[in-house]
Parts: sequence; structure tokens; C-alpha cells
Amino acid sequence: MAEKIDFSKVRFLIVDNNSLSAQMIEDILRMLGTTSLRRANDSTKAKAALREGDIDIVITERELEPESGIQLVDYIRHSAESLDRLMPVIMLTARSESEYVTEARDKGVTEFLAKPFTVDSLYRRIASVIARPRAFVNSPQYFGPDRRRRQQAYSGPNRRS
Amino acid sequence: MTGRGRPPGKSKVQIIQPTGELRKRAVNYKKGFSVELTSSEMIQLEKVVHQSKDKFVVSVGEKLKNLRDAAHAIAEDAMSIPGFLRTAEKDSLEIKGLGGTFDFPLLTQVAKSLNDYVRGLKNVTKVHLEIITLHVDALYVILGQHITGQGGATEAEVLSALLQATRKFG
Repeated sequence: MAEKIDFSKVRFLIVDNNSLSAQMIEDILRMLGTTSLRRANDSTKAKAALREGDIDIVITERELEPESGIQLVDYIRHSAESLDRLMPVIMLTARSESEYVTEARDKGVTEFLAKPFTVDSLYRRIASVIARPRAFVNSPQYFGPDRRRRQQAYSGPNRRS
Repeated sequence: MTGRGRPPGKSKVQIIQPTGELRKRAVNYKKGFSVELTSSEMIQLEKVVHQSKDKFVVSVGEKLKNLRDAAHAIAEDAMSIPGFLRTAEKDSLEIKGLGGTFDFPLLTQVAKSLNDYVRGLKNVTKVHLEIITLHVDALYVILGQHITGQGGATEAEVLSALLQATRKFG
């Protein structure tokens, strides 16, 4: 039997200053069955919502005011005010060049999704953070989800033959 | 880590295993959407995007009007260059980010060309402004004529010409 996700049990925060984009994500989540959903159109309101708690997943745009989405991730992962430093963060952005992807990954973003996105690609990322949670790495240089995504089988010669 | 690596107890890297609390709460075998979407579930979700298409057209139309107004303003010295470039960069990035979702990938490509172009500008000369205006006109045509998908040969030529212009006069 296939696993399902009961979205009525998942609480979301959408952070996006583009009302059309935020509304579309909200509509998709409502269709999925989400009942607990908050929206913020800037980083200050997003931080306030995070401090109030009762959020499981953050879906944020990178381009925010007054602080960027990257700084919001930094707040979630490192601030003493953060209620859940392990919270999954899905970052959406039209800045899809590799330097932005790398920056987001190195700041502790859980999933990155380039805009324009398809419904399928958004869903896969949301399902992934719920159904396949990743371990976190805590080191002097990095705190965030384990960046090693691929589990590749060793295919070289035997070390002891 | 043991063996030939770091001495035991000296590792400063801590691996925190996920609690799986959210998974335990939400994942089940009875209620909700499949972890791997079925085709009927996908159709349901795509309908949501389709229903927002009219709002998308209105929103992009507003951004293009904003861009055209800004281009007129700077041509008449009624707007600062940094202010104009900020507007052009922000609006073109938003159009780039939405087009493909609503089956307007050509809109995304032209907006990307415009966004890449204005991001590299420090000043706005008459030639720069002409190239920016050409992009805005092309975006208007794509939206107005409802050119979904990649368009045809003419659209490909227009895109190629815009890209060449941005390279030549960047």
C-alpha cells in the first residue's frame, strides 16, 4: 500500500512578497488539505510568525525585504530566538544560477526550487521534507541538513582480495 | 571517526538524526495525497495553477505597464538611474519566475534576457534604454497574443536578436 501525507497535520509558513506567487502556493497547499497556513510578505513578519511557533515547514522566496530569504534561513538555523533550528526550509527563487543554489545549500536550506516551477516539482520537495527527513550536520563551519544527497554504492576494486 | 582518520573523540562534527516527528504525525496509509503523486492527484493540483492563469496575465500586464512608465520617466530625466535599474531588475525577475509555471516559457526566457541585461548595467544610455524597451515590447506581444509554449520560428528569431543585442551593447 502506498504511503500518503495527511496535510491537515502539517503547518506551513509561506514567505513571499509577490502576492500572486504566494497565493498560488497557498491554493496548492489548501488543495492538498492544509488547514494551518500563515503568510508573510517580508522577513520581519516572517520572523514574528516564527517566534509565535506552530510552524512545521517554511516555504520562502529568496528575494525579500528588508532582509533576504538567505538571512531568514540564517535566523532559523542560528538565532537564539529560533524555536526550531531543524525546521525544513524550502527556498523558491527565480535566481537559479549555480552560485545562488550553492549559497542556499551552504546556509542550510533543506530544498531549493528554481522559479518558474511546476506543481510536481514543488510537491516533490514538500513530500520529501515530510516523508524523508534528513539528518543535520553540526560543525564549526556549518549547521544544516546533511548536504550529501546521493547514497552511491562503491563500484571500485575490492580493497582486500 | 575511528581507524586511520581522526583520533577517537576529537571529531567536531556532530550528526543529528531526524526525530521524524513530522513524518510520524502526517504520513499514513489512509488519508491524504500519495507521497509519489498519482496522475489523478497531479491533475487536481494542476487545476489550481490553471485557475490562477487570469490573475497571472493581469499581474504581468501591471508589471509591464510599470516598466514602460519607468522607461518613459527615465527618458525624460524624471527618474534616477539606480531607481530605474532596481525597478527593471525586480519586475523582470518576477516575470521570469512566473512565466513557465503558467505555460509561458517564452515569457520567462525574454524576461531572463532582460534581467541578466539590467543586472550588468551601471548606467542607462539611449541604446541601453532602447534594448530594454524592445524587451518590454516583446513581453507585451507574448502576453497580448497569448503565446504559450516556446512559440514558433519568428519568436525564436526575436529572442535570439534580443540576446545578441544584450551581448553587443552590454
